[in-house]
Amino acid sequence: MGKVSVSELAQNIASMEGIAMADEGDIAKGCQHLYRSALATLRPVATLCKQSGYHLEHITCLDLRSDEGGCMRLAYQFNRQGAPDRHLLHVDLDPGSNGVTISDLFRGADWYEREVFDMHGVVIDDHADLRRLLMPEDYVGHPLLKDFTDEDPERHILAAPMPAPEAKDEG
Amino acid sequence: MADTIELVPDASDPETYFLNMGPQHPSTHGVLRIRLHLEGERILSADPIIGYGHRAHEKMAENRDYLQFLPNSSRIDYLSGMIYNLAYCQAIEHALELEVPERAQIIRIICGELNRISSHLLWLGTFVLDLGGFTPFLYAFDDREKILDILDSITGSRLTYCYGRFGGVTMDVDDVFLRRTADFCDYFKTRLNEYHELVTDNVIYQHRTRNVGVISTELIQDYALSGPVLRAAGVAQDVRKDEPYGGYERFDFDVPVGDRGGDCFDRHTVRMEEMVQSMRIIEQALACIPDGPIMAPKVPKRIRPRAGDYYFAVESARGHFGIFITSDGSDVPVRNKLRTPSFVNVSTMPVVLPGTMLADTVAVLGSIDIVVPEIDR
Amino acid sequence: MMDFPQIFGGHWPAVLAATVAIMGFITVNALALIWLERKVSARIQRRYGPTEVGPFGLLQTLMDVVKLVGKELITPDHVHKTLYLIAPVLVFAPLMALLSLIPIDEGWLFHDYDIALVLLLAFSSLNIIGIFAAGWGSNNKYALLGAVRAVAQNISYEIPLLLAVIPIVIMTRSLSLYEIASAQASYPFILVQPLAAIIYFIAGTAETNRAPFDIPEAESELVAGFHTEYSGMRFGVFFLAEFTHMVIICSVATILFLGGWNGPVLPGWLWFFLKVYSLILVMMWFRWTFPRLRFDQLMSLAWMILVPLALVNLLATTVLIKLL
Repeated sequence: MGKVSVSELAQNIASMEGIAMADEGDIAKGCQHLYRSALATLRPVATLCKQSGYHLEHITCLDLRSDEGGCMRLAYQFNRQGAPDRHLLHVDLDPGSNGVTISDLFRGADWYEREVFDMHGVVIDDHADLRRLLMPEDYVGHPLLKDFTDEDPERHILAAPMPAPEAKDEG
Repeated sequence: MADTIELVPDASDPETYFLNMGPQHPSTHGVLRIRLHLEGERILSADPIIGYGHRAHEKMAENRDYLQFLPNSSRIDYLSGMIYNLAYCQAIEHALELEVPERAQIIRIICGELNRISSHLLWLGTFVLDLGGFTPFLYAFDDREKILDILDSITGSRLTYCYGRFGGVTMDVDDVFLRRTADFCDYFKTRLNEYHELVTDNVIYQHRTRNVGVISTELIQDYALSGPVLRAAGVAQDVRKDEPYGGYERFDFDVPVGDRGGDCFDRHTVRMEEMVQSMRIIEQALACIPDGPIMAPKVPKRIRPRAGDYYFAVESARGHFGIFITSDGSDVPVRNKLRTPSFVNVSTMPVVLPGTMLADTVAVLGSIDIVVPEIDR
Repeated sequence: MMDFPQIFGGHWPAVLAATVAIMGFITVNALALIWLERKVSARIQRRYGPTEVGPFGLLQTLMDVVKLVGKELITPDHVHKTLYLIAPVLVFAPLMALLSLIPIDEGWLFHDYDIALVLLLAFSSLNIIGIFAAGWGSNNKYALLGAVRAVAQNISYEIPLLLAVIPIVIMTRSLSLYEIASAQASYPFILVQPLAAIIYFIAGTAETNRAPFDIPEAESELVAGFHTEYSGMRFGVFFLAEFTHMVIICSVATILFLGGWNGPVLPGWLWFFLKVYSLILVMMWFRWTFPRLRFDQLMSLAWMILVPLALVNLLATTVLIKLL
């Protein structure tokens, strides 16, 4: 159980307004410094990471609505080239509220945010082109939600066995 | 088919037209669709549309426990199936702080590097095939068969391996395997010269790849590029060097970089050189493989990582593959996100493709070596 | 000189016999060439090629043709019917006519046209109209792109083709293929016009849309280029046209540069066919070795390299002829 030393960026982020919690990095967990912040602090943190030369490794969303104090948690992970120094930012959103984009700071965030919208239904404000990414454009539903059921009206047709040859009509 | 019939161009400019590349297309490796907006042969904008190969791996991970997800792991990117499978095992071992015996580590490294070579060989064959050279494709597959046979002899699979287990590997390797691997390395070194003669030194190939599809250093921070695409741009970064895992720290190998700014030819030379370095690692591994157990002595029966977020990264054939697991202390993960390199590489297409010609699209797509199931998961 | 009207008793029976002979040759040639291509490509790629059907897979092509003929001729709904249906004919017919110009041996030819070379180049250009009709009539973006590229490529490569042929014409002072071949009784013209021979061969390969110049039918980019919408025997006709065009280009190369039927020991027609098929083998060799040139590189090869070289060669030839 090794702890990594607190890097300069970690100190800068931890001292920012709106950061609720800052945890030291844990080697077993991938050397992540963990922060929890309000939505408003997301963009300042992202700007600071960008200025420090860090890149965005991924954005993902967790459906924690069934936990106490249910929320949709957005996780942003920043890292740098060379020896890793990961910073994981948790932004907890009330179910139904929107996130805000960082795709103008990191162009790679574009697709991650589209995937969050597609899979979890979290709308990202100010995103240039928030379409579904993986599911078809006319799909209804957000697959990675814990209470997701496939409401596709075509589903029973596709899943049904082929009709018997006598039952088929000519033509 | 509506797109292909519609010859009436975009209403805003009568000189331009839309062309749909894919999802069924002989050259996009897998079901990738790119909507191109063209003027003549020049591309004005490109919009990759993915999701045709979405198989819901991440959803499956949330409905299975950690061991049940193990077979899924190699199917995410089936060309580096061994590397992904072992990566998932190592991610869980990391989270559980499980020590893997040395013999298992060395075996994993040998198998992973063999997998890397086979993936690069397939890339080489299909890339030159896309450009119109039919023969290197078959030569590459012939050599790849040898690797597949070697890995088949201990894992039982040719493409999608489920060889790793939490704490080690499934079956021990014998001397036959070690000898075959060593023979393959000797054989392949001479074959690489043939590939250089046929492909690298080919004038037409160089014309098609030099100064084409430059992915330069300015895109790196924006998109978090990794793998051969990043190294071709000149940045010597490799997960095996920066955060060594599974025993890589004791091996001596170079990280090849490109020297022309990141065009297709750079990516070609980087991958060819990576195959040489992989063989170097394999030979060192073969020389120092110790006797011993292949499984950790005490592997918990029920895999329950402590609550929290875990991240583990490996260097796959395509770049930085990361597994992000959120556990709440139970058998089943809350979230298992697979951060795949091809996802990142394809997302750069709207920036890289405009300005190039239609024929270059094929060259660029081929040279960034995407595997679409990895993008869609 | 064979007197066909006399042998067949009249003008029109002779024409009929000639047509039958040409059609027969085209068919047998296509069968042979397809088999040869498959075997050559297979061996280059370290595999065997057809071996099952007939000895060495010789009957494989025949069986494939039978299958192809048996396919349903599907005409897609959205095509321009007239252009779509007439395109294969337009591509194939000029090449059929061209075969009647080729002399095989001393005295073995249909008629000694004294402008045979001009006719040759003129008819070769006609098949471009067919290709464009195929692309436009298919009402399909991919086919149109393929046809546009094919037209540009064919037109561009006709210039170096022509320029490479002119020095030979100057040397022999004749446009008749028969006379040019007869003039090489002592030595083939490739010895005195090596550059022209190379330019002619490269331009000829480009004219037939063979790799490395097969952008119009680039499989990996445009599905199948200008013949995307064609299937069954209609596609077979395009295929046939391509192989026939290959034979014509190589025959003309043999006549202009390699001496036609001249050669020691063996009968003339055997030499002729040996030379033609060796050149075809070289064309096949190109196809399976080189990747494809990108379209603008293809065009700059024609205009920036081949045309200046051909002009320089022409100039040098005229100067040398004047001096010597």
